Amino acid sequence: MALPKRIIKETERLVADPAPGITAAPHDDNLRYFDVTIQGPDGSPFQNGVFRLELFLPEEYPMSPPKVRFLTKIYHPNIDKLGRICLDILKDKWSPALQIRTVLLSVQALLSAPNPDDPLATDVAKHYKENEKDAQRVSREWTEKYASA
Amino acid sequence: MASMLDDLLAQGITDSTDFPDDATTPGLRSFDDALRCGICRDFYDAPVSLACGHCFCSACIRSALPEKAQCPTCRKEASESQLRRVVAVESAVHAWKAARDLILRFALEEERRKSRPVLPSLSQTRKSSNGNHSERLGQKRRRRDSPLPPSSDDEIVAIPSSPAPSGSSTPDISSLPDLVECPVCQKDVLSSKINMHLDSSCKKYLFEGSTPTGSNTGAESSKSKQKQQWSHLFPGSKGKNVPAKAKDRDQSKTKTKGKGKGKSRATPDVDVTDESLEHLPKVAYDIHPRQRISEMLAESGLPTHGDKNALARRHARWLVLYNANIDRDPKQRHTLDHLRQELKAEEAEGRTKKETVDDVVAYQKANKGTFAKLTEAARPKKPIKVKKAKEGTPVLDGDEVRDPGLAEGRNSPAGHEVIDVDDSES
Repeated sequence: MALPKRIIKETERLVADPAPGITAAPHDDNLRYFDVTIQGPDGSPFQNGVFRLELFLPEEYPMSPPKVRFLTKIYHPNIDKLGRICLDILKDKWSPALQIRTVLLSVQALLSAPNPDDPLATDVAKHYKENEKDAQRVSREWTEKYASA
Repeated sequence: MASMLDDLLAQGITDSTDFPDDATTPGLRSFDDALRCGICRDFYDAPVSLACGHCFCSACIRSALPEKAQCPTCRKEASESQLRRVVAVESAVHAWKAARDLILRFALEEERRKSRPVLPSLSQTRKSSNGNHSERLGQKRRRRDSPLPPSSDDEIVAIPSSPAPSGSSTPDISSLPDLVECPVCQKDVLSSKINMHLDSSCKKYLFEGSTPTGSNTGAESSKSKQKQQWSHLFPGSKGKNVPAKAKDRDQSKTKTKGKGKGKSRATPDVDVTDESLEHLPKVAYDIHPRQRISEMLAESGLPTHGDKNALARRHARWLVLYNANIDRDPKQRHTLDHLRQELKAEEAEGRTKKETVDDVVAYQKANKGTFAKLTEAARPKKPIKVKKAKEGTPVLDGDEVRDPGLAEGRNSPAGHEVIDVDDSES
């Protein structure tokens, strides 16, 4: 399998010089498939949690975005129960100048700044809008229950 | 780490992080980075700029714009008509590729020198792991500490601390055939053929890329024949670029056989170094029947197998490669045969392929074992019912095995279980 140079370089950088709070390692048998962990950002309800994600680089990458999904359960208005993420750069705002690192940093930022006005998990978003305190409490609970390292 | 990954990393892919950080060697890493395309992360190949001023490889941006008509860096609206060559950057890249290995050695030498007083043990290990290099330098020059301007015959030695050592940063140049200019006719000739070329009174053994007459027969050296090839490169505008005398020549014996199995034709090429060559126009494939697209491919000497979509994709990709080639310095352009090989290699890799499976039944038969293996590999990962369609799709490599969860629209409650399963693992 020939892998584009760009993917090899990105992988090298990710492994050698990982972004703070983020790890990404490719599978040995499929270098387009990455095991990712993201630490919950400090000050967010996801603090102290370590969230597992999967990331896949499709054949068309970087002309089309990577596919990213949470594997760890998370109570977040923009992440549904299947782990799918509502993030513009993973969809229509993708640009081939973005890369795995920037995508994962954006996902991390999304944990700090939930956006209930553009929800994917409607019930969670409703909860966040109506009673943010209580919703954050649930998020913290879930983090503790499912994402404790 | 993955052995496969290690193999790949050992291929010697250069990166700006090969250089020490800006504190150690100010500007070098940034400079190396500044000469790289934001899309492919490699050195600019035929750099072109958009109206916003951002620069990309011609082929990269020509592939990106059809997906989305905006600048990949700043998202400003953009179109192919804005593209302009950036000759200065191209020259800079060319020069930097030539200088890079040497500068990298100096830079690493500098890094070693700076780190020595602080971390004597580290620099010691580095030194020993790099013994070959230092020894070599030491033989030629007595002092080993100062950054040395190496003598010109000093062979460049791989530096272990760099993940992508020397020898590979100028692939384009090293892969070029060994050409010399004929002292009599000033045309390019392979150096191994120069004597035979001269013996033939400059008629034979011309390098294929520089002229259509050449090594194959040497008999058909008429100029109009060369011009005639132009008409094949400009589908839809026949005659515009063709001199009248070439038009009434018999075109049938050139490259219209059209049955080739993806092999590049033995037909001569146009003079790709001609500065006045123009970009090929885009084609609205939807309005053309398959037959017409097939003709266009044949006219460019390209294979014509596959369904209409495959043909259109192949031709669109050809336009990208061809037009990007035009954006190169005429002297650095690849021959059309080279471009055809490139396209063929890409298709073989499946990068531009996809649904070009002609005979599905035969394909399924031929890949039965692979499918079985994929199913087997996928099964333990998914203790749930899986969409049939997913499994039945011809999969070209192992990607899909790992991908099921990422598939769109899988919103059965089963997906929920996957999450639970994964949680219980951790």
